[in-house]
Amino acid sequence: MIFPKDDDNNSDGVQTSEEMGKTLQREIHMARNIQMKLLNGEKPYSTNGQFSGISIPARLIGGDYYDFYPLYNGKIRIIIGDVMGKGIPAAMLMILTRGAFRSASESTQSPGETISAMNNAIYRDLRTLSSFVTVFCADWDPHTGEFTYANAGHSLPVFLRKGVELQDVPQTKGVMLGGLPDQRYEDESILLHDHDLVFFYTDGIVEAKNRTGEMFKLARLVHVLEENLEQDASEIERIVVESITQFTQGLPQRDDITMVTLKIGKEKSEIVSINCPVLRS
Amino acid sequence: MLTINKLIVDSKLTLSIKGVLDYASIDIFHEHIDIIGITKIIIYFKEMEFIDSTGIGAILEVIHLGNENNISVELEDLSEEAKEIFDITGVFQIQEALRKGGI
Repeated sequence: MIFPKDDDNNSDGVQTSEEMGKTLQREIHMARNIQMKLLNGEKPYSTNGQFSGISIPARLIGGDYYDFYPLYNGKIRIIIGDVMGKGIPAAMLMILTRGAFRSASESTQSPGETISAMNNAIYRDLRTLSSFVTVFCADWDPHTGEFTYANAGHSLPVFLRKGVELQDVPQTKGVMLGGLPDQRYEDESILLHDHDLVFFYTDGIVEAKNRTGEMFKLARLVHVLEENLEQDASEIERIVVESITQFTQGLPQRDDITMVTLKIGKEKSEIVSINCPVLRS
Repeated sequence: MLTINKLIVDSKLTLSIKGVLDYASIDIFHEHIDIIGITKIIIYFKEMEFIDSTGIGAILEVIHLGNENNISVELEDLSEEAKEIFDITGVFQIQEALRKGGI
């Protein structure tokens, strides 16, 4: 526990505005550390694919969210989400969303069930706060390649195969978390092959603006991914971040930016376990 | 930059959004929402250039406010992009569900 130092207070024991500002700044930095550690913690590891994920808040802390949750059946559950708004309020709801996801993942059989359970858990809180969260959730089976997914108001990931974007991926949509109570979210499924790429993202990427007001847009993102499909997942992530940085020409970041990369393939994986993915930092 | 043209005729409130409806401009939008004596709200989006999640949240609030106070809410002149965003996030589904009742 951290106790306030004596010099945080004036002689009446009341903080001055300058002291309050310093306290607030310190606490925001601590909150940022907590969020960054929770977001950038354990990544799943599989012999059949590579994972990467990053979240870059527009402010010190943000409302974007991604997470991985290895399931007992060997599948890996992946989620990406975007809380309405920015900054501290969004960050608080991001933590709420994370708790709902991890708790729901323990007891649900599919991404659709997970999203339904999450909505049931946090619907009332979100309505009370006039907020909402969009999420896209997927299970990837490293052994069969099956990729099952459900959606609550979020953009579909980009699917790339043999250098081009897959256009015939079954579409799925559902109401944002906090939108309506008792929602059922349908699961869709596709089979992923070696070298396929699934790129999950939040709107901070495609809505990033340059000095002329032009947006980065989905087409530019897809082009960057197509050009770099041969790279490792973490390298693809680095290249996308660099592309956005170059595009925005040093302008302040307007929205939180988050991406998760799933690259299917065996070649650059080191074998850790024959049957089951493991977690590593 | 956001400009809201507000017009009240009888009990009908018309809001025309011009510019960017986002985190930075949302207070301007809220200032124009006054439902006393209003039975119908129409929001025109023809000149809206961009909407972010905070803007979507504000539109949802108007929809819920309308539902709670027996005020009909219509969203008009949406661009294809705005339609797509409202469709993906579920704004239209929420509007429809509230219209049918039982929420």
